[in-house]
Amino acid sequence: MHQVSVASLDHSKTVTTPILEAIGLSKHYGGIHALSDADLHINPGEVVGIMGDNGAGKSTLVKILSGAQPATAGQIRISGAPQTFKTPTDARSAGIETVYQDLSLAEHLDVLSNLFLGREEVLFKFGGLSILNRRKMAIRAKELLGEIGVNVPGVNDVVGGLSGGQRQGVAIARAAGWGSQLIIMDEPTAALGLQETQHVHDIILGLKARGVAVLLVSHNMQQVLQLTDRVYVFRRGKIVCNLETANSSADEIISYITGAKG
Amino acid sequence: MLVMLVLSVLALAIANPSFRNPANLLNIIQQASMVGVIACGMQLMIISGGFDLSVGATAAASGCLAAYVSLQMGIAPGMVAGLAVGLGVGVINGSLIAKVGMNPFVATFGSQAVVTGVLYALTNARPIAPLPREWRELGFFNIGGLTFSSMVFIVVVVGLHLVLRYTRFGQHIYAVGSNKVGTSRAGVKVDRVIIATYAIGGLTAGIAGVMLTSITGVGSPQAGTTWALLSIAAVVIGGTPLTGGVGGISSAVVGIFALTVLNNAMTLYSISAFWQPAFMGLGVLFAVGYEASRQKRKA
Repeated sequence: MHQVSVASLDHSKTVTTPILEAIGLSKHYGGIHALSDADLHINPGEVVGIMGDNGAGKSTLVKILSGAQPATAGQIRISGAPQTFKTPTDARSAGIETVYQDLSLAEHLDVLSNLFLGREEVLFKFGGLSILNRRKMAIRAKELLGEIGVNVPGVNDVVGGLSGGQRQGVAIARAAGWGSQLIIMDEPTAALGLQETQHVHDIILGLKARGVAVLLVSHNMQQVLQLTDRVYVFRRGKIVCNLETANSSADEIISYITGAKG
Repeated sequence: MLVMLVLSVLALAIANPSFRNPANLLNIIQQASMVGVIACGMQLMIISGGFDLSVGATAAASGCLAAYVSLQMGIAPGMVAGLAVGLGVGVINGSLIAKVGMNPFVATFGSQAVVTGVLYALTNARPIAPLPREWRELGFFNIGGLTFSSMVFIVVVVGLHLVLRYTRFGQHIYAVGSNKVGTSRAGVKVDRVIIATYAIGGLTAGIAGVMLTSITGVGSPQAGTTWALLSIAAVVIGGTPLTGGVGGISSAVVGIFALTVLNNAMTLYSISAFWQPAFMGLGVLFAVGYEASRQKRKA
């Protein structure tokens, strides 16, 4: 019954292959069904919102899509091809990057090192040791921050000394810098002030303009209405609706979140 | 801390002719060399967010095995065996921490006890002597007063400094110490970084053990009991917090020289050997307290 209702809402006008398709994703922890039979898709350049109360299954979905945890059942397809994510590296090589809510930056390291962490440019190998090419990384880091629209004082500044908005910018730039097709953002503005939030919104719209799809997990209704093309609402581990933002409203979304509807 | 070290060295050099005697200055480097090598390894482990309490026991075991093997097969195989023990204990420590998930205190405290126990049982806690002549020849070998162990110390300092500053592995040690989960999410194989870091730490302990055997000409099972804490103290005195993610080899070097110069000065001024630990402790408390209060004011 639930399956049918989701499918009937799912009337994509385009015939393009989605960047990401999840079919019947489930995650069980013992007897607890954190996520049951979730179907969703994201098209290229689309900003898709994920809303729902705490414990509705949003974080579980993020963990599965980012490769942090395997699903109990279901399939993930990237541009039509089935994929299995065992580690975050698998998800990343398939073109999915994640900006975690805690940002996952190394606070003691500089901006450049964080942007290239795990993907450092190497000058040459000496025995088993790879000698870093910091000059090359610095040039690319400046380009990347410029492209995304992140203002930091310098690429050699330690991340721990930056403002919350700047850190968020570095984390997004790190995710966006590798030709990724889909970026998952988990509550990207929860810790930010008004101006910084606006700046992150601009960055997200800039990514969309470049054809990058964004999966935006958020509690911020205004943000979701302003930025997204579609919204999936989660309740008790299930997707209860797939709404086109332009044809929906805060009231409708809230009624799905609380269970008044769906 | 570097400023304090330089000022005290200058003050001592002006006040005391025996201190500024070149032979004494070379002697300070020699005295600093063994724990200094270990402190360099400790520096890496502390940057990675851990530390190693087993380095003293490992050094003693390495020195003894090197001595024992040299009696059977000659000094070169002995040295290789000694270094292999260090490397082996380091890999085990790193695996206990990274793979099993033990905390560094428990893992290395345990391995320290095991290594010491096995060593005492096999040697009856008695020194291994007499050894082949070459050991002492190596111990006395010097170029212009700079001894073999001083040279090894300098090589380790320069080598590990380059690793930390210029290599991807060095970068990953800092990243792991700063944010382990985040670094793993960025695709870095955190387990491997931790195991390699402790392997290097163990290897420096092995090097120090072999150095000790060359300096004393004896394999001493009871050596090195204070070295783990001394080397940790050196790193902290040099300005590296135990929280991980920051620091450089310069910390270990400054710290070990601060401790050695203090020791040397107390000897030159004939301070009773019974009082020396107390002054040493005060020196540590003062240096670390100064750094801590400065950090607190900054925050």
